[in-house]
Amino acid sequence: MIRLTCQHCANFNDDPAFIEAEIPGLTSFGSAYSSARGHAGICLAFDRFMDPVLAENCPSFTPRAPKREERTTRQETPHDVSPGRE
Amino acid sequence: MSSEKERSPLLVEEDWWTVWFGLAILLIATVFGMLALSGNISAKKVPKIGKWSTNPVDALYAEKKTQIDVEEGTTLAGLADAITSAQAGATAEVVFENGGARLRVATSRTGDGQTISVSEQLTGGTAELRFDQIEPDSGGLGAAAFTSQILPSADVEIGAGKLTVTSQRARSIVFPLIVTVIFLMLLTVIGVRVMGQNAGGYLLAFVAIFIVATLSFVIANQNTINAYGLSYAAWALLLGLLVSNTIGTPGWLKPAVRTEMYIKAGLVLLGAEILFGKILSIGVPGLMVAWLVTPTVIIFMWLYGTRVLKIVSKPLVMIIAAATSVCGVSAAIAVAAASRAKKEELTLAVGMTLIFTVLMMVFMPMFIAWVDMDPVLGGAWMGGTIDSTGAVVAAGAFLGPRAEAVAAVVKMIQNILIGAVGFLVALFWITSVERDPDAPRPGLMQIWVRFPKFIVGFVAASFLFSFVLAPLFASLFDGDGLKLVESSVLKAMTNPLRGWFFCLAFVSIGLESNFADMAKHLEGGKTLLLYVVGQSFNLILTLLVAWLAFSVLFPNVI
Repeated sequence: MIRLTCQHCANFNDDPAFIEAEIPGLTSFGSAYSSARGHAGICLAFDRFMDPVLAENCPSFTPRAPKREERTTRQETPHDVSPGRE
Repeated sequence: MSSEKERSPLLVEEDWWTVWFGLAILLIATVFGMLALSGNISAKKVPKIGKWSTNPVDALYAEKKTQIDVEEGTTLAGLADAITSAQAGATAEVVFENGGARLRVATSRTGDGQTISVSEQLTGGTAELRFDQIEPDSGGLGAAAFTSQILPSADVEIGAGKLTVTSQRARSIVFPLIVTVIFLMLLTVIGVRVMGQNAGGYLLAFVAIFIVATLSFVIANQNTINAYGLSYAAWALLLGLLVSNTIGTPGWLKPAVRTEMYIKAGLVLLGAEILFGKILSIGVPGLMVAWLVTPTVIIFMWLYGTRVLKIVSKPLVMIIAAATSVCGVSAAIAVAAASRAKKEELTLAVGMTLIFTVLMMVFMPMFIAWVDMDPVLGGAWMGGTIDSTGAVVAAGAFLGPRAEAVAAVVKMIQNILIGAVGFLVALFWITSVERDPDAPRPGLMQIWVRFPKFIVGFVAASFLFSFVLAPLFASLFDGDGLKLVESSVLKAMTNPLRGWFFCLAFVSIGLESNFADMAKHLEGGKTLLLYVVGQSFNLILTLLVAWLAFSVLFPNVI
């Protein structure tokens, strides 16, 4: 059973190149590719920079389109998750 | 969108790549050093830009230093013979003037307009030679001659000592420079490609930034400029600023404007130059500066921002507090993630940090030099207060190698706190700010996830130098292992490559610093007041603790 987090949401973007483009000045003395960012990304629904959390109670959760290899193997649906937060 | 974290952090995190870059260079340098010491190949050196007076082309030639042992009782005429027969790229003769004699040393004119200089360390005897440079020769190729003061006769004894003849145009460094840029470009583009950045764009942009870095070294090595103490770091920064604030940094250059990557790779290489014991000896007072002051400043700024200034956005207060006290942008993104800050709050904090980082990077070393503060104390003060690691290294470089090393080590000790601060802020946010009893607590693993891994590389490089390479070289080549590694590995390769990495970083800082863009983030009111008051408190407290740690309790650490 997969617990859905922000990382499964289409509104959550943790691509370092995207983060650097969205936060002006970030690359001057920092980097979105650095360890300091951890797993954080930008939630486009709430316009927040955040660590991913459990997302099943999130009203804006939108399942991310699975990648090609996931489409052929993945059995779970968004409804398989347990409620709660991470 | 969320895919890069599925791969190993060893491959996607810039910090890890800087470790791989540094260790790969150390390994390659060690192999070349061992082959050179065993006589299998000639010694290989990464080129350093040469010094010049009037012709900048001189900077693209390597120097050749020849030391001549002068025996007791040598006469002026005998010294002239010794210089000529040493084949130092110079000929010497005694010229008679005004009833006396002087030694004239000049280019041998066999090369491409060699410029020579002579320094003397002769002691004792009846004459102490001082050489003055005279006009360049009529060939206009940069050649010059040097003459001593007038002595009574050619037979006067000049005592024993060593005479150094420097041939400044011994050989061109253009080809070794091209090899260096290709090597650094190919090494770093591997990481850039695997991290998923624009590798194609990086290649051309890297060459352009390397050329600006070369220009910085060339300008800094002009003798008059050098005498005023304007280092390559200042010129790299200035040239970058000139581009970004006039024509603007072109988009095609941006793939290689990676300040953090260059500075971290350089710091890993710096580890190889500092004995492990020395890191420990700097580390104890460094811990005092970094770990005592940092939490104090965070708590002070949090209370000041939320209770005195009553700033509504608590994430904004926490981000600015962490950025000010820990390490600027890196701490800002760690804490913004932990406190789920709005994007514009993070942008505002990053922008404000940048402005003061640039100001402190320029003015703190100037102030330290102006008040004649001990460079070690100054380095510790800057390491504890300037927000970003890159800016700390640049500011330290303005003051010299001791200040640079102490500033970098203190900053790295402070950097270690990023993970812990992120973890504690996340915990504090759930329990005391959002007060959500159902929210699961952050895992301790977060401390390691956000740990700046390049510090692992820095410590590993120092460990390798102190406990592996030195004993290995001592046993293989029968000598002082530390000195052998220093001459054949560090001075020949890793030290100059570190210089190139740092210079690339300083150029990148300049290229990323557009004052008009920065001014947009300079919001007045409470946010600015929070930063200014917090940073002032940080400056005073850090100076006090640094003085106590580095001047009173643990003096002479480096």
